[in-house]
Amino acid sequence: MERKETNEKAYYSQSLDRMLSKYITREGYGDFTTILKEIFHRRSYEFEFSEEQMEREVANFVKNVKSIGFVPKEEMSSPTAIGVYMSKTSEIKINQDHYLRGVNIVSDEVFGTKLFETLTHEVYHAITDTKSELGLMYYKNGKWRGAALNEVFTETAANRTCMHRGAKEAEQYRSDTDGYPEITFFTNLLAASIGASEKEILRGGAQNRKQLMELIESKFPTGKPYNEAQKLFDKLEASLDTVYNARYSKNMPQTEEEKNIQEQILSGALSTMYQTAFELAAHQIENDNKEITSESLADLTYRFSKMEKIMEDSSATFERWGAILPESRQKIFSNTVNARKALASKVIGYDTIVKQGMKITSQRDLETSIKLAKRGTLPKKSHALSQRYGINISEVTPLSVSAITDDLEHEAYVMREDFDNGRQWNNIDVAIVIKRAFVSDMERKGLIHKPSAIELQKTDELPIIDLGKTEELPIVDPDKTEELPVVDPDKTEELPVVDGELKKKGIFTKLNDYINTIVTRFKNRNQQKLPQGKETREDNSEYYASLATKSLESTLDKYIVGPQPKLKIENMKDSNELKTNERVQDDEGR
Amino acid sequence: MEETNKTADELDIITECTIKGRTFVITADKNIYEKNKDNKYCRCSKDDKETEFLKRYTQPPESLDIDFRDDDR
Repeated sequence: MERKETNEKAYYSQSLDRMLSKYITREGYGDFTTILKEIFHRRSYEFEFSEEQMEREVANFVKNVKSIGFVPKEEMSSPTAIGVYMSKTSEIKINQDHYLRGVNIVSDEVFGTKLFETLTHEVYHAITDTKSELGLMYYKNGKWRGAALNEVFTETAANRTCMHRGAKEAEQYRSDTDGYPEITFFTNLLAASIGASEKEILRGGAQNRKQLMELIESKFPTGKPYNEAQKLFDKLEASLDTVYNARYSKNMPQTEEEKNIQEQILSGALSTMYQTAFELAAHQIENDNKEITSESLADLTYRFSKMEKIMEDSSATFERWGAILPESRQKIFSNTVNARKALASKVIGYDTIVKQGMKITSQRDLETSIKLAKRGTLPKKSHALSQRYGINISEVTPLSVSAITDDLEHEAYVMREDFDNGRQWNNIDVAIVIKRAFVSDMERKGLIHKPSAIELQKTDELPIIDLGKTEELPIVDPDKTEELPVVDPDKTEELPVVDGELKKKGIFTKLNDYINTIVTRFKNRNQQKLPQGKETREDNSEYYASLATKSLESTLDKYIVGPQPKLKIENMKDSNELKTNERVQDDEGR
Repeated sequence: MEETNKTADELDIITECTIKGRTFVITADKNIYEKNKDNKYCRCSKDDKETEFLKRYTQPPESLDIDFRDDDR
């Protein structure tokens, strides 16, 4: 089998495996045994859970899930779901119709990894959904809190343990997830607003609400500051709930009037979400006990740019899909001006203290200046500081990080913590195992033709979908074709690798070879972009960070209101152009 | 109408929309209020037909991929 040099994570643990073997047995889970173990190994490694915690989770899982299987979409609780955890019957069901569409189109690795990620998502649900601890859902004042936060965290955490992080994801400060794709940006938005890394926030959110709230609490002094943070968090979650209900309601708006109402509701809720995230960040920075140093300045700069980029990028997605109007998106930016200015003022204050604080000779003045910098009001004292100490502070509060400082190395410094780079997971083996389980089940059901011994000798022969059977299957929804795992030129780090052994058995097609050729071309093209002779993890990190930095420099200017009307027009033009390339909305959850 | 003459500051407003000339807001505690000409907010009664469509946004979000046991909630 062809192997590439990788940055693979060493997530396998012998002692964890021994524990897993006690619970996850072949008798219980058949072909899924090794796949399930892989899921728990990765979860333990990625979120640094102890073996004791893993044992509790695995015990929950075994209690909650008695069988895993591929089923027709009619047997799913929601026909649009790719996977579902059936708590009532203790089952995990994967939508076989969805995966039949992609089985011969993409490489084993791409196909199997997508399938593996779906299963991981459902397993994560089954780990936390016990009677006493329902993940991020709970009763509040006698009311059921709902699934939005739970789905967002479950999908992002599952994605983190299955998919590689490449340039595209680094540039967006988030992953493109298959499930709940419009709203999974929320985890990183929340992380930036409370001053946590993505990994920290996922570690809390992947467990339950108690753990998540403990993480948030750890970022604020107890008492009034934390109570205020809780209120802001509640508001953030309420806006997420509204966005979720607009996007994932089982009853989508039908009439023009209803669509118009939904557009207003959605853009308003998004506006509140972004604004509240900026406010929460400002509140956290004002109340944390960290000293102002070049590191805390780097951290603040990074958080600010991350939130801006997420707002820019996620609102653009809603606009591209026609869920919000271009003018509504502009209104979102206008509505967040004050909140962003408040954060920008803090960055200016921190920057002033770090770079010019040594000029302040009076200890009392220095302490006052630090306090004002944290509050974001230091720029108001620019005249006095200039007169007394010769300190220069811009009196105009800019709206973007790039307008504040060209020293964007701050971001590159912190980004490495948030984003791994390249191929972190060895997906080839698990992808092949899970695909094999799928193909063998489909062959057993007669939905994929099992090649005969003679056919197996011909390398070009393929498993053929039984046409007679496909007529009985639900008609493929053309609007759903975007859900197929497709070769993404921006994701060339996740290249499919041709499995020589399976090819001999006739699993691969000429089409697959053709796709691999194209992908290899993309790969070669991308490698040409990499600095010569830099193949190490460290070097690639710098490369990805520099990509993100470049992108930020160019995109954040769009936020500047007033003096750049031309930029705004170009931006809208770009949006229109993108509409021709519009991604079809999919209704998939997991 | 219940809970009349609230100001915007008293409510945690999440989103706003206009339906047939009437302006409604949804609050963080999932209630629907109508804005009057004095910019005050009054909570809508449950049988206000104009808010029927808005109620879908105030429901607890339903998972698309978890089917709960009946006793889970």
